Amino acid sequence: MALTAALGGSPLAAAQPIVGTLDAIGSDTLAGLMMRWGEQFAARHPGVRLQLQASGSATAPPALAQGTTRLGAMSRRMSDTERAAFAAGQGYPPTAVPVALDALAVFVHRDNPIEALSRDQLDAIFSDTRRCSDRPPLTRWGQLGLAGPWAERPITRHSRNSVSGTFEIFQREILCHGVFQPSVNQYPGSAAVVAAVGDSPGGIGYAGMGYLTAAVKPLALIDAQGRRVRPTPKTAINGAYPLTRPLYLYLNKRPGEPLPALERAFLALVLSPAGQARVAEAGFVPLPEATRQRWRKRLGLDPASE
Amino acid sequence: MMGLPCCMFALIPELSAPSASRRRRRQWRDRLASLVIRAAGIGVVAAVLAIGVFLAVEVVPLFAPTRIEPAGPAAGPAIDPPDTLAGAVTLDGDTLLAITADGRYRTRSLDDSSSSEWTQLPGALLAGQRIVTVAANEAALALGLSGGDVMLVPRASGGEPEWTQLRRYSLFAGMRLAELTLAGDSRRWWLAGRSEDGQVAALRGGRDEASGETAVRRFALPDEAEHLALDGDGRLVLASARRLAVWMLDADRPQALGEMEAFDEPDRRITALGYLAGGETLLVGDSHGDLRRWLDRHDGQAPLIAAPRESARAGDAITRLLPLPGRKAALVLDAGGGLSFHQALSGRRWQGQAPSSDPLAWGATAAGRLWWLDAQGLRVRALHAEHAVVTWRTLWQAQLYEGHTQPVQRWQVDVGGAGGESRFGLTPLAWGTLKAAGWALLFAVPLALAAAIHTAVYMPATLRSRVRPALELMEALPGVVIGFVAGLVVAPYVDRHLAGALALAVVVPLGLLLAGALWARLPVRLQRRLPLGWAGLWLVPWLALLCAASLAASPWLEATLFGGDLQGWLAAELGLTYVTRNALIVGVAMGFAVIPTIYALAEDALSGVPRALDEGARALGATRWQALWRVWLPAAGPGLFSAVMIGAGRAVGETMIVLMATGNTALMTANPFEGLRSIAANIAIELPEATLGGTHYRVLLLSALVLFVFTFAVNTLAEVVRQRLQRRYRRLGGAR
Repeated sequence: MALTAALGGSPLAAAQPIVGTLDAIGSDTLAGLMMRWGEQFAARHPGVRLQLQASGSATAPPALAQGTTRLGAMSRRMSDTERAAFAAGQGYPPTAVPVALDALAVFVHRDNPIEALSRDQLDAIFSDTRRCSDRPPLTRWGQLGLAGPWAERPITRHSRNSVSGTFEIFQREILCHGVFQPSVNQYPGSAAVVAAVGDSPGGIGYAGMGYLTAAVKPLALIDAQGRRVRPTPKTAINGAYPLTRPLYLYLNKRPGEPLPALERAFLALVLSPAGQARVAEAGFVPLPEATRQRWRKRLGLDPASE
Repeated sequence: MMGLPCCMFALIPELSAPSASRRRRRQWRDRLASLVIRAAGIGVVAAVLAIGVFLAVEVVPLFAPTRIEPAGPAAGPAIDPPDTLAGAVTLDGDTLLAITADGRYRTRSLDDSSSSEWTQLPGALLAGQRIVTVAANEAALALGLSGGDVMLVPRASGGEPEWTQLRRYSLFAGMRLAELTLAGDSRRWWLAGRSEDGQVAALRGGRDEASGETAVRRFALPDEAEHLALDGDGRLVLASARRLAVWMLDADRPQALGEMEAFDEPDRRITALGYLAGGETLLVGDSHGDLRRWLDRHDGQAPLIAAPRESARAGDAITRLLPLPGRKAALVLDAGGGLSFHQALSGRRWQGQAPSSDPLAWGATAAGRLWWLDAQGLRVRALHAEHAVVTWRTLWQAQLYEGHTQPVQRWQVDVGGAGGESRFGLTPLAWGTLKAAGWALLFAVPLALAAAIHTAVYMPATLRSRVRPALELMEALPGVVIGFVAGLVVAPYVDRHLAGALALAVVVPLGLLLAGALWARLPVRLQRRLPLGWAGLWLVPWLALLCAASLAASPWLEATLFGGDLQGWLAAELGLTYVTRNALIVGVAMGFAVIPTIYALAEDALSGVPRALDEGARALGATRWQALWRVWLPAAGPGLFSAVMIGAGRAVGETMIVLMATGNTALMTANPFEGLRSIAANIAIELPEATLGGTHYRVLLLSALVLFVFTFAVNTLAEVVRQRLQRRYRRLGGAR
């Protein structure tokens, strides 16, 4: 194996061929993207393999803390208890490297005439406690100013399930940490949310931008100053669109020491322009250039390895 | 095979006179076979029991009593002569920071007696004033000075104070501070103080939305107060005697949100006040030793709502409250030196004696350690209350959760750990499970039993041998496929053709009865060509025709009877919300999955009824109908019952169909057009993401245990009934 890697390896890795298997555990949101990077990684360094176990963000912290994996994909930040467990097991805090951005789009059925909603209105639609809006719940489309057959049509709400990172960011940004109404339909996958809204004329839901289909219509968000912000890669990168979250790779990096060669090579790929190109293919938003450069420097990835 | 009669062997000539060695070999084989069979049987029973035991073992810690106990050896001598100590705060998991009145500070480990050297704050900062009180939250440290000023020190991400960032503000001019409280985060913070003569003033700091600059604004409150509490949104609660006054500090001047009497009794006084972590629950302790929760309201009416009082108890006045970081709980100290642990929702979980009645400072770490600083020095206790939020009562009864105005049944777990309150209500899940199973049985039982009766009693053997395997093939369909088809194909179709789909439930049974009656009117010649056993074939074209007709008539039905919008009509006239993936869809999909089970068992029970009984009844002049009701059904009754029971067990435990064919909404409604969330689907969704060993994980396993016990009981009942039936058949001289 090492021989083939040395003979057929790309000139970039010529100095010392990188071989072995890289284990990663974590988020199912990131699974597709990780697979793409894995393929790219294997193409660049024959003799390496990325072995991915994607059963949810919460599976990464215990595996990292026990040292059974050195790479954890997470669609949210570790909680304090998870970070404390890692520090207790390894003696130093984990390193969270942002690798892509995920922008959540709020969308309705394609026939729905509504164009934009404010965060207050979304809170009044989805929330049970309405901590952000302090107003009565919205249950009919007529209450949002729609006329004709839409006036009496009930709003049916669709969401990811409560243990997903997608759910969590919506809860934080729109519901002010409040709770969802129990009548919000919860699905185990983002594609299922899109399909459900596409099937129900009175439906409204949210999911990662990459999952949208022609059956649904994304809405603009009205911010505090009354401006309408559409969910686009541009507004996600410049911070104007609030429903944006970074996706992370958690590393077990001992402070003051460089990363092992295999992880180093993988991160060099992920944080390279070629790696970030795969982000857009997977339906996410690539990192802002400045963030990418900052993390390359912080992880000690020299510019030559791009 | 062990029950084979001995004489069977005797009939086979070879075996009738075996040689000794052959007999030995045979005995040995017999013994081996019986051993293997017995081991396998015991293995199966043991495996089932092991699952039950595993669940029970994982669930038991959920109900372990809360304890506070000494953590190892006494933690060494006091850090300083206590008369000069102004206060102490928890820095991180295992360090605390002590601050003296003259502006010196040092850290002290909670694990051992190691501590840092004293460091003196620059004298210019204190300007001759002494530090009189210390307050802290996750974002900053506040030191109150004797001259009425405060110093604010932001904390780094690790918890340690960044002394170089210290800022000094004036809160009162020339008045000694008596109490200080701090809330908010680094972006937006509030600080409120009370002077010794009861005046209240507050500061708000943070980035201004419009200009983008950080600014600090001071508010002087017109009210006097004895106690203060501040939440993270800028709500300030002032308490004096029996009165609670709520102010909002997020505009240019303080806004009064309202005030209320905390009790009716005139002799009761508020003696302690504090917000729990998350800043939504206010705890109010009184002079009679009672502690009551008040929740923030967000509906623009009264600012707070009182939770139902726990059973009143006479006791010493509550003197101090210590909200615990990261959990909805507080430690409560009373005038008699009693210490207790109070958890929101589940109430008082532990009661005991405090190390001393009036500590100089006390605090708790997120890891569950309680430290206590008094004249004797530093003492550390361990708090074991991981799952205190859960009791049997909070799992099943409606609770007044944060953000609500009345007790509700909810299942929604906060996994973010951002100070939200988890709602562990199992009742909506149990209801959803029963609702799904109920609709499934309502659909499946009549169809499966009628089919079983028809095949077992009336159908000729040739047709029966075709029909049975076909129905059993239905059982081979994986639940995930049925669920997928139901959720992604049937549900949207029914949504678009609701009137027609509902009409099916009326048109098909009535239409088929009519078609049956029509068959009886057919000319005798035709009837003879299609005898009773084959009459089912006659109904097949009718069935197709009726289905097609009612679905085709759907738009017409909707337009003429319901004004063109049946869903709108349901909502307006009956108050029923229609959701695409609802209980009816689940009922049909899961009914489809349950039919083969019920059918197979019911058909077995019926075909086991000795034919002689039927023939006897018919010979005595009973009609087919009479024979069915008086002979077949009573004889097979227990078998039919057990078939339905096994079907119910399957429906209760079915996971993928419910998961995919509903929106997994944990609702408590009887409305068949709304969704539901079953226990099994809930486990499938949430268990992979639950932290191992956490409360959420254990509550999910508890729900699994409940499900296990339920299906175990139902299946056992069904099996007992079936065995009694078999004995009865044997008595009646039947085949089995």
